Order: sequence, then structure tokens, then C-alpha cells
Amino acid sequence: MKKKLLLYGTFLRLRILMNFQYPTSYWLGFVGQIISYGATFCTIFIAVSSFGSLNGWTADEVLLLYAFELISYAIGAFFCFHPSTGLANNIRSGAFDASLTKPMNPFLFQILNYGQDAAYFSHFTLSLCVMIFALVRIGITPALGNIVAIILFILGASAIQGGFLVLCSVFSFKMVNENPIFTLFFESKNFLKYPISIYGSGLQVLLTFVLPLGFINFYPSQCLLSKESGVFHYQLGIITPLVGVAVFVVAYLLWMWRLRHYNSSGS
Amino acid sequence: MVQIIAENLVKEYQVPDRDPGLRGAVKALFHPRYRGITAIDHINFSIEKGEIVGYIGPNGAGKSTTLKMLSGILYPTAGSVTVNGLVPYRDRKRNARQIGVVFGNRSQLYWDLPVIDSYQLNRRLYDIPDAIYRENLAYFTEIFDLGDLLNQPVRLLSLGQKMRATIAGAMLHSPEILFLDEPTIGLDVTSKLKIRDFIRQINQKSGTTVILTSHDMGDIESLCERIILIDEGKKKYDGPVLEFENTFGGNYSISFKAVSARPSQFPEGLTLREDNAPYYVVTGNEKQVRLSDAISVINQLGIEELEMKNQTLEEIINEYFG
Repeated sequence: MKKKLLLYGTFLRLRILMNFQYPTSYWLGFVGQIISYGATFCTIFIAVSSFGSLNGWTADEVLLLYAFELISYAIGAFFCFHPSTGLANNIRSGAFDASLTKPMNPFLFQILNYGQDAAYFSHFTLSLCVMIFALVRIGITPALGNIVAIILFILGASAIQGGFLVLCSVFSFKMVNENPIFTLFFESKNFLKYPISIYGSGLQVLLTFVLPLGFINFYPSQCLLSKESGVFHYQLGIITPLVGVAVFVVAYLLWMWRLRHYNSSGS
Repeated sequence: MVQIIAENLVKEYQVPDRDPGLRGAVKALFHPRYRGITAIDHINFSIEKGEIVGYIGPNGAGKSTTLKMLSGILYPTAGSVTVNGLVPYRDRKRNARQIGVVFGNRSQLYWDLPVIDSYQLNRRLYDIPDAIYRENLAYFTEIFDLGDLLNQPVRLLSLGQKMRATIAGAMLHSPEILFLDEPTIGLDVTSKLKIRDFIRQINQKSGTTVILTSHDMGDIESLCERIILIDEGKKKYDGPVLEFENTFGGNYSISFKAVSARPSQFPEGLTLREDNAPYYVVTGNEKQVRLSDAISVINQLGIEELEMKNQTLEEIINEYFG
């Protein structure tokens, strides 16, 4: 156990050293992300405010919804963004082959070696502030039960975000050039900017059972706010952590299964 | 002791099969076809502990594919491989601890960070005991001359320095077996000689088994007693380098300056290549006239200068595949 912690610490140390190797670039990126996502928050807030409400959701509630999306993305992408989007390139360059000669689970190696990107601290900081702002305005009390629920929801949602990134990367084993599945994933997340109850019931079922993106922000928020909205009961959000575990485990198993048929890139 | 065994090893790849040109590309878009190509075709070999084996063949012969199966990166399509009793692709993690792998065309060090940081990670990754880590680091720092390099970011190192640092990194956990895939690619002569020297030292010090692929026959001649030659996935030759040279090579050329204007007769079995009296060049082959016999015959013609050249391994290989 101590050895595992030492190994993890070494990976983390290398990652931090690499992230802060070019401080100007790091801070520019940090500020850039805050401005760009900050603008998105403002647009959503102003738009919903001027309409009064959106399908029964106030502007503050929609803000909470989007804060759930961004904070879970910050955590999921912190671990999984580079390992997933960089996989095709690593296969082409031969770096992936080299990583397979290490005495470690190859999936875990990808996460620890390429993940943990400090760039996502900006997403995390911004979304945490917006989330607290929204919770206070809505009037959710900082009782222990609420805090535990919020943390569990965020962890579950993060696992869904990370799991989907990994799922997308499974296709990179076959398509070692550009992998278009990532674009598909990022574009589908546009549905999550608004409560999914505004869409038709078919789309709601799709976003609940087929691509369970609804559990990233809609169901957790609905549960927290005890809000009847959409085709399912508001307490469905309770299973968010379970959905997170399930999505991530399925993604992991598919990744490992594809690895079994891995053919390298020749030469 | 036999350490590495490959039995009836086969590796097939599925590659897209398309007609050339734009038409082919469009057709493949709607109706992709695949065909199997056999990269490794029923290869057998066994390698003893402590050997340095040159694994050679033209580009695309299947050298890297074999090394990837030995290091657990690829599953074979058929047949089997064992390394020290382990099946690499099934027991990948345990196999990783007993092998060191270096791919010459890419570094395994962290580009932006000092070399020592990559070594620290290997120390934890391979769980190297402190005493052994310190001892190995000191040893490799000395023989690879890494002293000043350890604290420099990898991106500032020259190609030769990077290769030295990479090989040292792959040896820190004292692997019994070392796979080197073109360790001298792109290096200048001095760096090449250094790398060869290190490989020899590592092999002699700890009896490390080495499988080496290279397109530089100088590497092979100076390091390996045995070569395995493959072409289009099939094994063509497996045995001592000397025997290979005797069987497939043996050509030599002798240049000399005759004392008299023109010798009355040139030795039988030799071919006169150049005739600029009094300078002559004759060529022959060991299997018809032994070099020593040829020289003594030429000596009797009365000569002032004599220079002989044996065919190099590179020339033999070139002729063999040409």
C-alpha cells in the first residue's frame, strides 16, 4: 500500500512539474477558460432570467444545473481527457507500445501518466463558485445531508463524464487517425445546458437509459431541489453514483477488451 | 540455459485492401475490404541466457513485430513464445519486470523534465530496492557518462545522449533480458561506438541476454556471434555470423602492383577486374580459391604492393536480398 502511494505520488509530482513548466502558458490558459466558461454561465443566466423561468426552472436552478455539468467535467477530464483524446496519437507514435512494457495495468498507466492535468483547476474553481452562488440563492441549507448528497452526485457525474471520454477513446484503437466520436460526445453535451425535461419524452428516455448523460446534471439537480419535472420521478437522481460506477466500469472493460485485440501501428 | 523460445510463431494483421487512387478511396469508404497479411510466418528459435543475438532483415521483415510479441505488446495469431518460462502477452506485468525494452526511434523519457525524474518514476514503477537503484544508477552514470546529463531536461540532449540515457533507464531494474530495436538509428559514428561498447559491457557484467535489431551491420559484427535473419516473416538463417559469412559471402578482392610490366598468367579461378598496368585488381571467392592460396600465387608473380579486401557482412546481406 505504501509502495502504491509512493508510485502515485511520483506520477503526480511529474505531472505537476510538467504542468508548471511553462507558467505563462498555464496562467493564460487558466484565465482563458474562466472567461470562456464564465461567458457561457452569464448567457444562460441572463437568457433564463429574462424569460422568468424555463419549463418551471428558475435562472438560479438552471445555473446550478450547468455548474453540475462543468464541475463533474472538470473532475472527469482531469483524469481522463488526455489519456483518452491522446490515445490515437500515442498509438501512432509508438508511445503506447512503450507503455505496454511497463509492469502496471495499462489503463491505470494511461490515466496516471497522461491524466491529472492541472488545467482543469480553472473549470473546477469557476464551477464551484457558481454552484455555491446558485445553492445560496436557491436557499439550500449547508446541512450535512445536503453536502454529502452533493459530493456523491458530483463524484457519480464525474465518473460518467470520465467514463464517456474513455468510451470514446475505445474507438481510437481502430481509427488511429482523427477519432470523430469525441466531437459527437461534446456536441451531445449541449443538451445538458438546459433541463432535459424541455425535450420530448423520447429524447429524455434516450438521455436516461441509452446515453445516461441526464445523470450528469439533470437528475442530481432535480433530486436536490425535489422538483417534479420530466417523465421520471424526481428521486431517480439517487442512483447517480451507481450510474457513474456502471458507466466507468463498462468503459474500462471495453477498453481492456479492445486492448486484447491491439495490433500496434507496425514497424 | 535456454531463456527465450519461439515456437511456430505466427502474426497476421488485417489491413485495408483498396484500389489505388481517388476511385479506390471512395469505393473503400462505402465498401471497406480487408485482407490478412502475414507479418511473421511460423518462426522458431531458442536463445540461451547471456547470448547477444542480432535479429536482422530488410524493412518490413517482421523484426519489430517479433520483439513486440516477446515484450508482451502483441498477441500472436498462432504459436507461442516464452521468455524465462513466462508467456509475455499473458503474463505481461511479470514479464515486464524481467525485460528491458528500448525502441530506437523514440525516447521513453519525459521530454520536458530532467532525466533523473524519469529514472525516479522507473524506480517506483519497477519497485527497485534502494540499494540496487543507487548501485545501478552509479554504474550507468559512469559507463554511459551521464554525470552532467542527469539534471538536464531531456529536450536539450543530443540524439546520442538521449539514447544513452534511455538505455540506462531501461536497465535500472536489472532486467535479465534486453530488447534493443535499432538502438543506433540516426547516431554519429562516435555515439554508435559508445553504444556498442555499453551493450558489450552490460552483457559481460551481468550476463544479460540481448536481442538486437539493426540495419547497421557494424553493430551486428561487433556485438553478435549469432544472427537470425528473417525476410517477409520467414526465418532464412539462424547461426553463427562467421558461418553465414562463409556460406553466403567469401568474396574478396586483391589489388596489387606488379614488378614486371605484365604477368604472363593470372592465377586460375580469379577474375581480373581492373587492368591498368602495372596496377591490377582481381576478385575471387573462398569457395573456389582460398584467399591465402590466392595471395601466395600472386606473390610468385613478383609484386611491389598488395591490398586485400574481404566482403563485409553488409555486402553479403545486400547481395543475399538483392
